[in-house]
Formats: sequence, structure tokens, C-alpha cells
Amino acid sequence: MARSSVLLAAALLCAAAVAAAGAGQQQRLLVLADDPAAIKTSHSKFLASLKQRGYRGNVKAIGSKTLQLKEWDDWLYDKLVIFGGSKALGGAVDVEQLVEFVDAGHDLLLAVDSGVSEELRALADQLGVDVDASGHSVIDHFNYDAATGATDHAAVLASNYVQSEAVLPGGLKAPVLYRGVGLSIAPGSETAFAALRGSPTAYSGRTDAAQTDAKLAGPALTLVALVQLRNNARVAVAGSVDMFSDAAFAAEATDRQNKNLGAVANEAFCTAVSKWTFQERGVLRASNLSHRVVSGAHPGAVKPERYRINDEVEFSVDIQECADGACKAFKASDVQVELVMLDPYVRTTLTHDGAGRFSTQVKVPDTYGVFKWVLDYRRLGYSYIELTETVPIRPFKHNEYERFIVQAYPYYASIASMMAGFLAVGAFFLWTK
Amino acid sequence: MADQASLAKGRALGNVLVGFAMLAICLLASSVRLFSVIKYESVIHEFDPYFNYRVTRFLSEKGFYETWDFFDSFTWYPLGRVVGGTMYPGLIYTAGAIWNVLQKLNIPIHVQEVCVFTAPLFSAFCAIATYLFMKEVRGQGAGLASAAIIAVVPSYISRSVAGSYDLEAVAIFALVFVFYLYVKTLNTGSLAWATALFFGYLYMVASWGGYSFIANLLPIHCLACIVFNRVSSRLYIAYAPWVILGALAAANIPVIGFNAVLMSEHFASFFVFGLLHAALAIQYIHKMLPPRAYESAKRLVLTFGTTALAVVAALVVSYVAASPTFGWTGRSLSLLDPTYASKYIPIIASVSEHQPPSWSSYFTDLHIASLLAPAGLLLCFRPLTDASLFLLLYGVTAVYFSGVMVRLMLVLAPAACCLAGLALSEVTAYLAASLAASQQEQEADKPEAGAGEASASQPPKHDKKAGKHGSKKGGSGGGWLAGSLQPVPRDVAIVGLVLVFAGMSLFYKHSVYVAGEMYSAPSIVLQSRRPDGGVKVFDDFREAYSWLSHNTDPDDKVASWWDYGYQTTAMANRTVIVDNNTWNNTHIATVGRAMASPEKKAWQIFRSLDVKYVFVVFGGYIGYPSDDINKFLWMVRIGGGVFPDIKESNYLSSDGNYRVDDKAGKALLDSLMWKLSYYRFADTSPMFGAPRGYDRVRNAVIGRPDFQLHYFEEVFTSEHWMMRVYRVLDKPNRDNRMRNPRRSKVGKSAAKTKQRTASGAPA
Repeated sequence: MARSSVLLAAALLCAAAVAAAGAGQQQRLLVLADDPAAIKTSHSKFLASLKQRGYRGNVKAIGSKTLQLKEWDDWLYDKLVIFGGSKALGGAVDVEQLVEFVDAGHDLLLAVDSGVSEELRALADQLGVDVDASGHSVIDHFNYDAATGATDHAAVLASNYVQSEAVLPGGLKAPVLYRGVGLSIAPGSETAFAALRGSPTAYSGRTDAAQTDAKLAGPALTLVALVQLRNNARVAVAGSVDMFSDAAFAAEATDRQNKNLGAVANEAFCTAVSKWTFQERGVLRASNLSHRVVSGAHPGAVKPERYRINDEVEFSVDIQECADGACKAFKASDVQVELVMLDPYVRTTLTHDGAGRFSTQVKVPDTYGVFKWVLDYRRLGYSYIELTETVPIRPFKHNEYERFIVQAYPYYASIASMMAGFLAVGAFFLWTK
Repeated sequence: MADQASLAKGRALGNVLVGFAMLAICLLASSVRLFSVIKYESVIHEFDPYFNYRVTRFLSEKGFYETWDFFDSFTWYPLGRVVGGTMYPGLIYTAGAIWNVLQKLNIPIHVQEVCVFTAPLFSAFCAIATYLFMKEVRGQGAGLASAAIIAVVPSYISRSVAGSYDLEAVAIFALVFVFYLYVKTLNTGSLAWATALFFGYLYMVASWGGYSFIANLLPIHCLACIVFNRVSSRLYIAYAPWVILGALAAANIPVIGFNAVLMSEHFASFFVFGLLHAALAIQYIHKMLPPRAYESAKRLVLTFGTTALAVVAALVVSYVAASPTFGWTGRSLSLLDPTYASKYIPIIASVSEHQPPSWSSYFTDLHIASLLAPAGLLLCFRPLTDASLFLLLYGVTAVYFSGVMVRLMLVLAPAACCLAGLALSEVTAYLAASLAASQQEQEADKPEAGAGEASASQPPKHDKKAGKHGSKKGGSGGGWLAGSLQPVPRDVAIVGLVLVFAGMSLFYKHSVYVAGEMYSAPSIVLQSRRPDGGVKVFDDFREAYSWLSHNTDPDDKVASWWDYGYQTTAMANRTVIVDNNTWNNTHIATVGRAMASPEKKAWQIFRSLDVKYVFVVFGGYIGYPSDDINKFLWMVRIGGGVFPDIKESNYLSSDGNYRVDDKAGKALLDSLMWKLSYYRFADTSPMFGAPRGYDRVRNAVIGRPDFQLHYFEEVFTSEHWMMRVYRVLDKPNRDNRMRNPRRSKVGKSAAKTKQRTASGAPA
């Protein structure tokens, strides 16, 4: 009954999407904004970079009466960008459908700001990101941009970005200029993480009133949150629409002493965020799961129906990392596999051969039962790999035990002597008179 | 010479008559068990038979060797079960062999039909074995009478109707047959019969855990023989080889293995084995030595013997005392101490057939045998032979055991039938002899002939022994009553015979009625009478199992209370968590705990066991009383036995009663079992005019009619709501509604809650 079930096969889907993008097949993209015409001009660089990366699509008004994401059971778009404001969702689109959109494995980039509509707030909430109260914005009295935020200190320079090769390979050279609302992620969240956090002096508050008890402050204050759902669909929630704008891309940072710090890293950061969100980075693809008996009841059997206890077996799987449309061998030394029956009986680290083939050789436990191989690989920024393969382990058959064992020699001797004695006594009884 | 010839002729005629009578009895025994097939259909019954059926099917596909090493990964997920090493293979191999023979004969019959009809076939064999046994104990007459009674005794019918493919189907035959072989060996003293006894015992050991009854009854008998100074070489031939070879035979059945020498059930035989040798040694010395030397030698032997015995006893006691159950298996101990199971092993106590029987069930199940058996016990003493001593002991011990568990009525049944048959044959013989004597007085010139006619005119079960009463020899001759009492007058004898005939007729009428009405229900298909006289069939179980087999992935795991495990694997062909082979108490307790826990905790437990579907059996809609809500306290007890966070008192109302109405215990209302059973129940109306949420089994309006399920999803409910299948929801795709406690508290809007239910997934 060896069966393989790939629980989150979406990893493959996403990888396929990347491959498709690389092959030139265009992905359908929809950008929603309060005012499409204004966004087209103010965010032209960002939109152009998307177009350049192979996304075909257009910008529509978020409140449009004819707005449609889905026709019958077909999704009309693969990726969605929302530059949200205070306008309500129009047409056939509502929060429920947007949630369904990501649950179906599609990706969403959601940017909001202080004046966010309740619907988009609810959407972020459904995705596991909490947008701070209406009218609040991120304030930093120390790291603000003097050129644009000298009065309210609400244009902050954030440099506390996530340390992940999958999201921001090489890191950022300069701070990110940010003007917008604060976000927060619950500490217990398994799906969301912050791509950009507030500096230790940043907090979320009202610009028009002094704040003495800011709860959301410092690193707990998230500026840009990334979410990887359990089906490997990705969502980015940014608390600022402005950070994607041409103005921000071209801006130069000035600190509170009016010292020019050079160009901000908004373009690099926003491009990286969009690449990660649209599955162009940090995508892992697992395939070719296999296991075979090295020595035991049936040496060499590939994917046998069941093992026998104490068999020596080899487990192997191919893992590739896809980034920017190309897949290459994944190199990591922390991929582990477990052999589980209620509890893990074996947990071992897989070694790779440099060409993406991860393997290990283990001795299966001396316990029979329905075991399963479990490879559950979750690393920040990378798509999840969760593979299970059930292989029952059977005990020895009655004729697989050793015929004679050393410990029993005294008993064999006693039986032999008993038989000899019986023959002798019998002969004596029969033939002596 | 002519007299001798006519005597031989009469005997030959008698044997032919006995043969026909036995044939009729066998036909009767088999056919009375076919009501279930006629009234319902050819289907396997109840719970355990489904496991036997499934393994037999496996055997028919894979062969005997594979079955011996069968490791089943479909049950007890994820532990698996070594079926070959944990089952008694006798029944399965028997049916498998029958099926193979039929295939070889080009009779293409399905395994299921073989399984269905195994029990009726073996009840015919059991009648034959009973005849042989009683023939050895007292004579042909007693044999025939016993066979005639056991053929239709309701207690045995209850476990051997067609479709009741359980171990007892062949085991009762094996039990009686081993008794026959033992008594035969005892009477003949022949090693050939002792060998046959070994093979018979091997079959018995392979068939049923009840072999331990034999393993203790034979030593008791041997001990009684020693005490009553009846030790003989015949007893030695019968007993001693059996102890050694029997232990070897038992050790070769994997499910018993080393238990054959390690568990207390088997110690009695070894103990008596030693005693027997000591008794024989004393006897031998007594013969060899002059009386004075014998006295001192006896003292010597006794001293040494006692010392050796004391040492052995000390060793055994120290070995046994190390075990919490004193070396007994839990089941055996609950027989010796009837309160043990209810105190320590709820899983044994929870089974309804492990409860003590009520008095009425003795009458229902044994009927006339319960009246005649005491008389048979008395008659065992007249005369007391080794064989009748055995029957006596069998009867007495079986009565005790049947008083502990209703299930062991089955062991009592052959004993009661044999004793009743003995009494019946003696009484009939006496009455017939009186009749013959009075006729002889009338027609003094025609001896024998009248008596012969009188016997021949009796129904077969009233045997023909009356004709032989003049020439009785040893223990197997005519009845003791007929030989030692004065004949009664002719009219009294006729009235007596009519009364006996009437009694037997009533017994047969009762048995056939019980076989047809009470014991033929397969319990997976239910029937009820409609007011217009028609029959309404409730086939919900098979409906739901077939839904599972057609609508779920073959790899899915299905959880339910253990009662339905065998049925699920056999009928739905899905992996189950626990089943009727209750070998792992912790695993069952885990499922019990899940059922008794609130929804979220239960969801976590089931997720950790990879469970995809959960089903419950619910009777509140049509009034089916043996549903999961009524079994629920056992789940609580079994779960609480391992996990102390489950406390029975929380599931009871404040006055300590188990009830489902608004006074029900809070934990009960929160438990998963309650929710799965009553989900959406209030929205239906099972009965015209009943209040909303009225449960027809508990006769109460349920305590919480409206609630939602968050972690389970109803996927199937059978026609009469008897089986309700739920899917265990996956972990949600999104971590939605996870609030950061540090977010700013101002400006919260109610609009945020508007979309909460959008996900439909559990938080």
C-alpha cells in the first residue's frame, strides 16, 4: 500500500507558474486602484517593471460596476495588485471572493494606507495581517525623512528589513522611505512574517495628537507583511501605497540633521516584494520522492509495499529552487526527514549531492506498524514542502527467523540426549531378558 | 441360539434407527438455523464475524501461509495488527479449507456463502459429537436424547445461526468433541484415542480462547479421580499425554505461544500432572511393599512430595504474585472474581455479553433443559463412573461460569443438554420399561416382542433402550431407574410418556420460535413490524458503509467507536483507528477521549491520528437503543481510565444521572459525541406531534438543540439517521483573525466582523 501523497501540491503549481513565466507565457494581472488614471502616472515605474517581467494586464477602478474576477468557475486573473484607498469594492468583487482568489492558489499584493476602507481592512484581517486603527500612521521622531516629513514625522526611514535570501537577496543598501499605516502580525502566526519592520523608535499613533501609551511600537510594528498561506499562495500587505510610487522610487533620504543619505532603496525593495509575492523567488520544487530497501527482506526493492523491521533503507527526493524564471539545484544542509508512527522514530538530516538530490540511508525501527515518511520543510521566505509517504513496517514472518540460535544449544543438547537415552532404554528393554 | 440371533438382529435394527434418527437430528440442527437467511438474506452478522469474514477472504486470495503471517495495516492505524499472531485461526482455516475443497470440486461458490453456512454445518457436527459423548458417558439412549436437545437448544442457536460466523460456531463442536475423545480415552485406555484427543484438543485450541475451560476442567476431573481413589491406568493414558502434548499444541498457536506455560490458566494441569504421578507412585509402592514398609515409605514419599510441592508452590506463587493479575489474563480473572472487570477493566465490562445473565435468560436459552439438568446431575451418581463424574463436574463448573457472563451460557448449553438428555432418556426408559413390563404381564407368552414394538413406536429422541433393559451391561446398558425401581402401572406410564412428549414438543416449539424471532436478526439490518403487519427494514449501516467505500479515498482513515471497527474494514474497506479486537487499551482510550472532549480538542486528537472521517451511530431518530449516546459513558470510563482529565462525574447531571435533556452534565453537552449525534437534529421531526428536539430513545428533549460545528463537517447521514458521517476539516489555509494583542485599541469597527464567516474554515 505504498502511496505517495503530496499534501501541498501547490508548490508544484507555483513552480510551474514560474516556469511558464520564464517560458514567455504571460501571466494575467489586474491592478485595482481608487483612481486608475492617477495610479498609471504616479506608479508608472512599478507598473512598467511588472509589465517588463511578463505580466499582461490592466489597471481598473476598484469601485467599477463591471469589475469581475471570475467568470463562471474560471478565474480571469492569476495575480492581483490592489492599491487600496477608501473606496469600496465594486462589481461582483467582495472580500469573500478575494479570499477565495488566494485560497485557489493565486497571489495578491495589497497596499493600503491610513484611509483604508473597512473592506480592505477585513481582507487583510482574513489573511492574517492586522491593519492598525483608522487615522493612525507610523511615526518616528528620530528616523524621519526631513525633506517630506519634517512637520509630522510620519515619513519614516525604515531599514529593519527581513534577513532572507529568498525575499531580499543581498539585502538593502539604503533605508526605505515609508509613509503609511502600521500593520501588525499576531505572535502566533505561522503564515505571516514582516518584510519591513519599524525601527526601535517608530510607533503607530495619530499625527494630530500626542501619544504617550503607544502599544504598537518598535519591531512589533510591521510596515510590510508577507504571507505565505498553507497552499503556498502568497500575499504581500503593505501599509503604504506611496512607497510604490515613482516619487518614492526617485526620492533621496534626508535625516533629521538635514544630511543627505543618498537614494532610498524603495525601488529595489518594492521590486523584491513583488517578485516574492508573484512566485518569482523563493520557490522550492520537490519531486521524484523515492525510497528503496538497501538490505533486508527484499534488497533493491524500489518503493516497496512494506518494509520489514530493521531493514536498511534509502530515502531520496529532488528539490530545486526556482528564482527569476530559472530552476537550479537547491543547496541546504537543514532538510530533515522523519519516519513517524504517532511519534517520530527516526529523524535525520538529508545530505545533497549538489545537483538537487537529497538522500539519506536509515535503518527502520525495530517496531512494526504503519509508518510514514514525513518531509516537512518550512523556512522563512521559501515555499513549504510537505511530503508524506506511507510505508507499513511488518514483523518477521514465521519462517524468517533463524533456525538455530546459539543461546538454545543447551536445549538442543538436552533434547538430543533425551532422545538418545530413550533409544538406549528402549533397546535395553526390548533386547535384554 | 435363535434368541441370540434375534437379539443381534434387533441391535442391528436399532443401529439403523439410531443412524436415521441422527440424520434427522443433524438436518434439524442445520435447518433451524437458516431462518436468518430466509427472513433476511445471506449476510454476515454482527461485529466479530466481519473480521473473521475479512480474514477468510484474505485467505481465499492469498493462501494459508500468507494468512499465518498476515500483518494488517488497515486496522489500529497507525499501530497495525499482526493478525496471524493475534487470532484463533481454527474457524478461518476451517472455512478456508471448505472453500478450497469446493473450488477443487468445481463448485464456484463465494467465500461469503461458505462463511454464512459454516455455523449451521458445525452445529450438526456438534449434535453428532454430543451423541458420541453421551454414548460414552451413559449409552445410546442418553446420546440420542442429548443430541436431540442440543440440536435446537436456543442458547446455542443464538451463536450459530447462518451468518453468525464467529469462533463459537466451530468451537462448541470442538469443545464437545474433545470431551468425547477424553471420555473415550478414559473408557478404553487406548493410546490411539489419546492421540486423537491431542488432535481434537489442537483443533479446539486453534479455535477459541475457551480452550482454557478444558485446560482447567480436565485437571479438576483428574484431581477428583485422585481424591475419590479412582486412579487407573486408563486415567493416566487419558490425562498425562494430554498435559504435555496439549501444552505443546497450545504453544504452537501464535496467539497463545508461551502463555501455555506462563499464564495461571495452565498451571492447574501441570499441578495435577504432578499429583497424578505421586498418586500412582504411592499406588505402585503399595503393591510392591509389605504393609509396614509401605507405611514408612508412604510417609517418606509424602514428606518428600510435600517438600517438593512446597518449593514449587513457593516458586509459582512468587512468579504469580509479581503480576498484578496474579498471572491470569484479565478475562479469566473476571471469571474467577466477577467484580474484577467492572473495577479495573472497563473495556471488558463494557461489552454487553460480558454482563451476568438474568434468570429469565436461563429459561429462554435452555428451556426444558434447565428443568431436566438437575435431575441429570443426580443421575450422574447412579452409577458414578469416571465418565459421569466428568459430566457432573462439567455441569457444575459450567453453571458457575454462565452465572458470571451471559456469553458463557454457551458453555453451559452442551452441559445442560447432556444432563437433560441423560435425565430424559432415563425417565423415558423407565416409563417404557414399565409399559413393557405391564404388557409382558398381559401377554406372558410373547416376551420381548411387545417391548421392541413399544420402543420402535417412540419418536427417535425417546430412544429404543427400553427394549434392552433386561440385558443391561456395565454403565452403558439400560437406565438406572428402569433397573432399580419398581415399574409403575401401565396408565401412569402412558400418562408419563405423554407428558414427556408434550414437554419436548413445547421445547421444540419454543426453540423454533426463538430461532426464528429472536436470534436470527443480523443486527446490521434491522426490521420492525408496521401496524399493517408489513415489515419495515432499516438498512442504514450498510448504506453508510457503502457510502464510505464509494465516496472516500481508499487511503482515508475512519474513526468511530471500536464496536464498528470490524464492520468498517470489512464493508467500507477503509482503515480504522480501533476495532473489536480490543488489544490496545490506550489506543481505544484515545478515541474515547476524543469523543468525550470538546470539539476543538477532539479535532486535534483526530488530526494527530490522520483521521479523515468520523462517524457515530445515532438512534434517537427512530428509537434504536444501542447507539453511541447510550454507550457513551463507557467511552468516558475507558478514556478516563487512561487520561485522568476525563472525569465521569462531569458527564452526569447534578443528581448523578446520565441524561441528555437540559439537566445534562455540561461536559456531555460540550462533548464531540453529543454534537455529532445531535447536530441538526432539532430541525427534523422524527415523530408526529413530538416536541422540537425530542429523542425517542432517551424519551427526552435534548438539552441544547441549536449549535454549530466548527471543526467537523457533516458529509453523510443515512436514511433513518442511524449513521452520521462527518469529515474532519483540514487545517485552515489562512491564519485568519489572529489579533495582535498590542494593536491600538481605538477606532475599532463592527464592520470588521462582517466577513468573519467568509472563510468557512476553523480558526
